[in-house]
Amino acid sequence: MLVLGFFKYYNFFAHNFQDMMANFGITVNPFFLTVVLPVGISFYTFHGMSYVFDIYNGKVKPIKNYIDYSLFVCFFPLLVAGPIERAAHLLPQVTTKREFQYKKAIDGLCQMLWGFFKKIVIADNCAIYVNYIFQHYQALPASELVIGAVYFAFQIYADFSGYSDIALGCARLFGFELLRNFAYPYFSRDIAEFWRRWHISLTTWFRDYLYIPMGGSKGSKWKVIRNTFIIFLISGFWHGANWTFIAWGFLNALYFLPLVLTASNRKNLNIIDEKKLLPSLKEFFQIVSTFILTLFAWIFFRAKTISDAFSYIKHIFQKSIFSSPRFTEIEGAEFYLPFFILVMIVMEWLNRSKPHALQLGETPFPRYVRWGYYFTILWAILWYGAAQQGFIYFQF
Amino acid sequence: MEKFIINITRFCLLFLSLNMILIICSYVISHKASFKISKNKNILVLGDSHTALAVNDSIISNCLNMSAAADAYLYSYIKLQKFLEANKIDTVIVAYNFHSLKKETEKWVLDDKYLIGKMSHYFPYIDEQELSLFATHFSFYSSILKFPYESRQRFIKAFKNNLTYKDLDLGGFRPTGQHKLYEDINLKRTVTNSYNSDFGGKYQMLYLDKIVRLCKDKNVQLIFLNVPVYSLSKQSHDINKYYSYYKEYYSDIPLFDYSNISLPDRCFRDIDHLNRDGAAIFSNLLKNDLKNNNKEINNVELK
Repeated sequence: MLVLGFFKYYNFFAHNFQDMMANFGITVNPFFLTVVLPVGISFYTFHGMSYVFDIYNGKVKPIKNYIDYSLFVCFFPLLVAGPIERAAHLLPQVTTKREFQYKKAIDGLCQMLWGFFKKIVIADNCAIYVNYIFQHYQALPASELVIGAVYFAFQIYADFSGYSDIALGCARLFGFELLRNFAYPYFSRDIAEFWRRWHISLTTWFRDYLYIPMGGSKGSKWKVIRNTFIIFLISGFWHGANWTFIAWGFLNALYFLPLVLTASNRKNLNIIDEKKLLPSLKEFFQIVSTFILTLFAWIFFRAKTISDAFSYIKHIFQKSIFSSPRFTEIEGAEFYLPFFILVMIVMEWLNRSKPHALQLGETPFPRYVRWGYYFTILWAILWYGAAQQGFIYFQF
Repeated sequence: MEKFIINITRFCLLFLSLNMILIICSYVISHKASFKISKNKNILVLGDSHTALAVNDSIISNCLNMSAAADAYLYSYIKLQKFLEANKIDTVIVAYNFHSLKKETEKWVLDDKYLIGKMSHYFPYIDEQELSLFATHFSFYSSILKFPYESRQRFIKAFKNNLTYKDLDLGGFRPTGQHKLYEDINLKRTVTNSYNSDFGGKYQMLYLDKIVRLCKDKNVQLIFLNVPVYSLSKQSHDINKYYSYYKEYYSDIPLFDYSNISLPDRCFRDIDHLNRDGAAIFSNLLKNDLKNNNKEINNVELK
């Protein structure tokens, strides 16, 4: 934790200390680090902590083989952006002999393909709009700012879940089953369900190693409120040393609190309308309203500073919200993007009971149909993929 | 494992073969395109967004504007070669503006975003030198894979046997009715450093030189053109370097410099570009100056 704190949070505290002292009229010049943040430091720190906690809880025995331990901490598909693995889940897979399984390997490739589609076609194309809009929001009409926020919601989902799909699929090729990280979070009916489906490995890590040991949702109301805020603020702070992430965590705590206080946070545990093609009107409304709440919080996540976030929101509520968006200034913008977002939503909706949207399962499609399907996705990636953008979660 | 390797190999080979077929077909079809222009046009305009938005070739009837936004001189050179091969052109006007030789224009050549966008149009026409320049860039290969998709309209035209340069989307006059001057002024105040790049884009310099030599070899009159810009624009460029470079290397080439002429605010799309109204006024001006072979403009006073 000290290593993580040193690299990731030292400058944040030093800056805030400097600002605080300046408010009292005292000038201090603390030492600032000018080092590169080690890649994936948050992830392998949490892997290491999970190992210690699971031993403490008796879920796993200490291993004596240093190579096995290193593989668990630094397994390459999940090294830079997760999912955050548990020692009790991954270590037994490391120490036992694995055998190649044809179906698993093919499924792994399919999941990787879907991950690449989400990352290259959706996230990278959204990034072109989002980067421009968030940089120039002061001079743009409100309608474009709304679309910028919507596109960021899809960008961060497609980017991060795309990476997770690639990591999970890649690990499956090697015979490893990693923890699921996303379960179609934008189909959630309330914020509690959203947090059970978004970045699952981090959420459950905090739940099991922090929230529950602190008492969770049991105890007095004040204790529940305290625990909720602690968990969300730390979760926000985990993402980076910036007040924007803390504000994002705070906002999510505010969303979550009414549900936990009214004991309705575990109301929607099932897969939405599993047997039906379309959701009911009520559920559709719930999905849309949950999406809008998360969308609002994402503005804080994406903005450079808190004041930028508030300014962005202020600029949204203007008359120009009724003007038609133009996007004429955005170089390289892909105008088919809404179509591909729709394709992603439809594909994921139709396969919401499966681990990923490209899992064909036991359906006996002939080979030429399956291959045609994969070729179409590959061509979409090749033809509509945007210029390369880094993964958002690599910075964490 | 054996079954897996065999099936994956088959899958990859089939996919690669299909792509190869598509790329070859698109390449052959694009090569068939005619670059022949109508006989009454003897002036060719090449350049970036400045000329693409400013020179209305329907006003200057003997002129063909083939400028395109973010078109590096490299692409102007490729177009120039193709048009000179197919036509008798007397005069070539090339955009030479304050932005043309800045270091940030390097991105027009090698930045992934631009490379992918441009190669989808120019891939069939690049020669070995450009190939060696791009060969080390991954985005070049991804642009080749994109090429069949970008050429899809050409297939239909090619079947009708009338594929011309107009179908290749290599440039042209792009009138815009937008008037975002004040927004842009506001934007430039909020976004710093957007123009503070140094002078001296090496690929721009290299290919500008090639354009000059090609015109000399083919005995074609070359004119440099600096279109009108809003007064604020000049503040963000090192115009001394711009004029000294011209004086040092190209003083024998006429520079039609309109950067100092004053146009009403309604003529500008933003601080660097004209809109439709501005293009109409400017094109009439340029038309007269070309007709009168206006030496006043040729004679640049070094500012």
